[in-house]
Amino acid sequence: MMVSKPNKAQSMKKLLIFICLASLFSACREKSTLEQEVIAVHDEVMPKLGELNKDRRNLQEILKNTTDENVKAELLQAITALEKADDGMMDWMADWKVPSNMEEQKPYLEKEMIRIKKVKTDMLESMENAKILKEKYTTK
Amino acid sequence: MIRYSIVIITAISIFMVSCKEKTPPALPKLGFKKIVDGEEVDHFVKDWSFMNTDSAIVTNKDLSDVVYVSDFFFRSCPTICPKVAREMKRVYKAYEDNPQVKFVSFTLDPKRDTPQKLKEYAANLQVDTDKWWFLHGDKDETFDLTSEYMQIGYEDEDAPGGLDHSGKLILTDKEGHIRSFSEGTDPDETPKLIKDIKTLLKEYEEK
Repeated sequence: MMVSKPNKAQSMKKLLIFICLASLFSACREKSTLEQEVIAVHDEVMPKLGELNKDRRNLQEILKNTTDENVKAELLQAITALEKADDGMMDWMADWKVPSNMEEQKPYLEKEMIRIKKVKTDMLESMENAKILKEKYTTK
Repeated sequence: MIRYSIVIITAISIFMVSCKEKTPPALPKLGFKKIVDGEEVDHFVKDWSFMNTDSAIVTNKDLSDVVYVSDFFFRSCPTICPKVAREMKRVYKAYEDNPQVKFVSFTLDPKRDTPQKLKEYAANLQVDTDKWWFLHGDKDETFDLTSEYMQIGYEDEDAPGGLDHSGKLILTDKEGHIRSFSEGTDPDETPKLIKDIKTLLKEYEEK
């Protein structure tokens, strides 16, 4: 009985397919990791959005009972910062769409990472400031 | 003959008792008590008024003849909401032909989720907007309402992952009491909610 030996061309073809698949998988993994990292930043601060809105309402309540123009301006500025941070997060989510084209994915995700980190900073800073102002201007 | 009769009667009694035990217990009324006119009453969801996908105003009173499942969501939410919507649709499918059950999704992002956008969202989900309402209203009012619906006895509003991402499916009865809920992010909890709706409907049949 004759066993046909695989010829050189066939072996090369198999090797090429293997290399292609392997590089495809490693590329996928790299990109999905970056995507996961971007989403992780979102997941970290997104649950704070309820608290951020509560902070805004607290300041709006204090503003209603304030007559001092300087304090009013300070509160308004803080409220605007909270609203801007809130909008930043909502806009980020509305715009979030990972391109299906592999070549476009990496630059897109890198850009979005910078953007979501800015959203995170805006949220945390405006919330911290709001809490300081609440403490400062709440009548005891 | 008498002996046989006794055996049969005993068997039937045992069967009836065991059947009775299988009837699920009534669902509790969840949430903290409220004080109305100086009297303590079971928690009920306060009156609300929102805009539906046809830009018509609907209120909680329009749901007084049905039991309904509600959730809070927004279209652009990338992680939690799609999972919750999938589970909500599972429950919807289970009661699609039952006019006694409705579904209500409140958007937490009224700025972007206009009635028109919500209509498109419902069309993508392939659901009937007479049965599953997608409601749009004032942002602060919606946030207030989340506290009303999320008052399920143990929830800490300040907990991480609190209101925005809680993703709960909440079952409300005809009188506005919250009777059951499930985690919309956990598909394993959905069958229990489907069963609880059946139990609740039975309560009204027996009345």
